[in-house]
Amino acid sequence: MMRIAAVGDIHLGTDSGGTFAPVVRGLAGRADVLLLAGDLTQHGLPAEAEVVAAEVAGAPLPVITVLGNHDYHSNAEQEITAILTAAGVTVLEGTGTVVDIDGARLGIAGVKGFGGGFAGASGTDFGEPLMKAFVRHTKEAATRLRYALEALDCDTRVALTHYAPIPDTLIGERAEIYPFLGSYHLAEAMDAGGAALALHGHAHAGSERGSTAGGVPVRNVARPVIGKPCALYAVGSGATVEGARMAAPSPSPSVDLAAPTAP
Amino acid sequence: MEDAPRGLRESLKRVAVTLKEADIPFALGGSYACWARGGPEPVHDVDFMLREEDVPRAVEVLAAAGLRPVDPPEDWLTKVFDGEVLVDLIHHPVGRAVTPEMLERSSEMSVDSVRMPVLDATDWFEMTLLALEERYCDLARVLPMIRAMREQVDWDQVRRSTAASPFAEAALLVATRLNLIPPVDAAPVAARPGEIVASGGGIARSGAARRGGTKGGTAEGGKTEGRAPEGIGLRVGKKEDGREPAGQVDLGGKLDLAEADEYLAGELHERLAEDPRVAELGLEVAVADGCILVEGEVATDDRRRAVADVLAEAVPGRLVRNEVTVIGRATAADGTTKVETIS
Ligand SMILES: [Fe+2]
Ligand SMILES: [Fe+2]
Repeated sequence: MMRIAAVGDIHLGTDSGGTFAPVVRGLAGRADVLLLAGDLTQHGLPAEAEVVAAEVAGAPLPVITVLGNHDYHSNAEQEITAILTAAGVTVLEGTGTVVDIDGARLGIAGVKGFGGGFAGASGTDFGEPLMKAFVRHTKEAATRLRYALEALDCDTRVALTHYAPIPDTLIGERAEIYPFLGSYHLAEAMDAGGAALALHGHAHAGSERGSTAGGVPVRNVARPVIGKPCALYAVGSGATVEGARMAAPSPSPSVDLAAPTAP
Repeated sequence: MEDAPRGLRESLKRVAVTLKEADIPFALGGSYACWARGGPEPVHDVDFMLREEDVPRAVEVLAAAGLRPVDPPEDWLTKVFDGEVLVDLIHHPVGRAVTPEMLERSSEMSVDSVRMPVLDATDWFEMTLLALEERYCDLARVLPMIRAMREQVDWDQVRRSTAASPFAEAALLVATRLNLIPPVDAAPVAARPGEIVASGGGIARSGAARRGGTKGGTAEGGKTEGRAPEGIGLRVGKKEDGREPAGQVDLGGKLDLAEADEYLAGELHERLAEDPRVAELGLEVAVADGCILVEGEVATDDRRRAVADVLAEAVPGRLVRNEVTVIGRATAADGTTKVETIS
């Protein structure tokens, strides 16, 4: 079994130094990989990303993340990505990475995702340019997630997003805001891409568990939802190859962080 | 009824002593806190209040003491069984975090000859009244508790912090008319010059749903676990009660005070999300009787203060009740976190 530690929405500010590092250190020997489901910062400031970087630097396990909407707030997502990458964090955005865990290969494909809503109550690619841009941003994110999942050469695939793929893990949030919390296109991509587990954040008042129409277990790991420093999941079965190393991100090394209204 | 109370009291004492010995801060809550303060003896279960970050360790020491932990689906408490007796360990009563301040306000009392901290009577009524909701609003259960504890309670504080709940308002009205509690303090906030009057005394609110918002237990025996729908929170510290915003700030940041309350609540909610000092999307803003109430959870004290600053600039001169709580977060991945196997 491969052990995944996961948490989203840690929302570190410049005053949060020292709050997350003990969590990361405490995972030594208890998890094989730490997945962060976005909203690492409060305002998307590079100074906040430096705090996050310092908290996870020297982590006893690979740290893999997607960014969240808060991390985009100051239009500094590229800089934040660079700061995190320099600290050894793998930042995914329409990309994937494979971690070798005692011979078993755990593949993680990640994308921030976006809103749009869920089947029967969703936005459509119709009308004003802004509305089209909104829905297209979601669709693009979903497509890139699907390709990133499919491109993973591994034994077990995990999908990591900030926005939610299903409404089940939003229960507790007001129904009126569901379209701002996620999109069913993400779930479609997870089903098509053969994910064994999907992790997301963003919905602080949502619920932890759900599953896509295709049966992919979905967990909302937003910090306020899990109610503990991080959630732990065991996935997949052991394989036989040796070695424990972190593979380079695949397939596209250029992290393209499209802003919500970019075409 | 039956011999339940005896078993309940034994379990209550066992849990309290175990937590005390482990130095885990807690307070006796629920109907046993009411009993300790002179109310009727409960026959159902035992409630302890503690901070969320202390829950794993509490469960650990209680399990070591022979109690049986169960992991309920609710996200605002956990449970342990002592034989047949159910003990609730509550960390988010009525949707709000148990804070160190709340535990500090509790008073050390002798409960069936064991000394332990008992939840402050004012806090207790805030929770109990906020737990009233459409399906559980039996005042026949609440009134005896008001009679039993009335002189221990700061009723103006209870009125302020439960202002958004019509059920709490009804209970307090009945208690006032029965002369059980003092009438509303004179000089109400709504009479301030230049204030717009809330339309029809209604409450407009805007914000995210809160954690576990629709779940809840019963108000049975004064249990505090039911959640008031969208309930207004608990006070954070007496010092800040009734505190007024700083007054004049730059006019550019002001909102139009003539706006209808629901729009004002919506605008303030957006301000809190958009202002870089706060950038918090999960706060809830309510406008009632000319008073702005804001609730929710933030990670640090600075952010809590920033909430007050932003509102003071947006609606200068308005009374702002900052019911935002600072959640203390466990900073270590504790060994008791369960691993879920995905198959
Ligand atoms: Fe978030
Ligand atoms: Fe978010």
